[in-house]
Amino acid sequence: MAVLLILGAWQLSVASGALNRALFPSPSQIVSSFWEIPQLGQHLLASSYRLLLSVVFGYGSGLIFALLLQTFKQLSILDDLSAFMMSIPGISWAPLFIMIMGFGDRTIISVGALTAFFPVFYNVYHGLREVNKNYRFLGEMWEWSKFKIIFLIFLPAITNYLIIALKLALARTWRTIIAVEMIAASLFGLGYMIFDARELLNTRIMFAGILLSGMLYTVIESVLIRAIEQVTVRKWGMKFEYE
Amino acid sequence: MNTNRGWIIPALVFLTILFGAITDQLGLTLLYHLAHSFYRMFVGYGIAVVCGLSLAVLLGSSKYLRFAFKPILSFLISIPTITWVPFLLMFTGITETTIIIAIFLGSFFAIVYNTLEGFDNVDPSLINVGKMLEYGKLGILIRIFIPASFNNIMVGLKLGIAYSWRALVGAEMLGAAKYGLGYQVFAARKYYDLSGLIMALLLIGLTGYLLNRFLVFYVEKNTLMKWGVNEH
Repeated sequence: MAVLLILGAWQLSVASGALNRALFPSPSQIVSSFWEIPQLGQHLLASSYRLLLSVVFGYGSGLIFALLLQTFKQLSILDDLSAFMMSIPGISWAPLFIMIMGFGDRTIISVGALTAFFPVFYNVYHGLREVNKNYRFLGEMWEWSKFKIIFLIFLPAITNYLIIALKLALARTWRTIIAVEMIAASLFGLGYMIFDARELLNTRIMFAGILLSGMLYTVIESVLIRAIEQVTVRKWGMKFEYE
Repeated sequence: MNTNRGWIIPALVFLTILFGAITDQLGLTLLYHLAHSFYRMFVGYGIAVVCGLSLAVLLGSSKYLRFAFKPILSFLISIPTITWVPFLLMFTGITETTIIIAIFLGSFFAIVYNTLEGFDNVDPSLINVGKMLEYGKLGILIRIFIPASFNNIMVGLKLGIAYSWRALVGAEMLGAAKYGLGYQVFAARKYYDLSGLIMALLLIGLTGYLLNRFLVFYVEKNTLMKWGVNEH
């Protein structure tokens, strides 16, 4: 209801000239511009492709690192460092990576993967430490190999942490990727689209980009994560809460 | 969770200063960058905290308002803050205002959302206690709602400071005129000044970390831990 009211008021004030049409396009104009943006599909595709690759790389390496640290306790100094590294915003790595690899996909995906890495590592590592020791003893008693213990005991035991890690990784990487695209993208990507529209003073595209970036993320979160939760944690009745 | 982390802050500060000294980065310029970033952060985040908490109180006071605005809020949270920056640049230009608004937007929604979440989860019998003691509306707010939902408020503040810091760095890259840590990282790339870049990166990480620690250790210790609220 309130959404409609606000949108209606917005539309009316643009139509009556109270709001500057060049700066604040009306909602109907924004929505209709969805179909007019050249190569919108390609922008969206490029951004989601980068998101996917970054999260896959970042998640994978975060998981592997956490497991390594769990097995080799001497490395735990890295855990202290990770708390510090986590507080460096992803985007501030971008200039460094641009320096090393130039503009384009490689830079964006590396920065994205780096952003995804730390929350995954942190959550998985702390999840692993809270696994009931008896589960591990059980595996050892059955003389399972280390590998089997990790896959059949540790990973299922921390599924809730794995999901939180995925959620955080997606959220942070999405933000970072949009930001890095503004600085380092060539030709495609939502961030690039928005920043490019600024140069042409095209507010309709900018608003459309802002809306789309929110919508795409909402879709990813509500569809993908809900689905994963539904088939694992909720089905198993695990204790589950967000951090 | 907080096992022997005490050494890490001094160690990192030392490392940063050492790096700065070796590469000859320490100086007034660096201080300017830091001071500008801090000033923007202070103003933007301060406004966000004040506005966020008051809006949360306003929305929390009426069931209808909350019902109407919560979906909008949860959508606005999921929009990356940086996407507002190009728009703000058009509107307010390359000024302090742009960056401060970006910082504000970064933390505002998180604070409002989490505070509201806290208000929603206050035990109804506590509210009834307040009514029985005839505290009045304001009294109930100050003496029941805020302490009871302080946990969630802290979550909002912590998330907010992290988001704001991110927004600050991003916004400074795109919209700072001369000073600011984010600007320094960006400018250092232009001049291929690798040591300057790493110095700024270290400072950004260190400051973000310290801001978070400050909230966790100082504010939380004096409120939640003193009151004995079970946090985790």
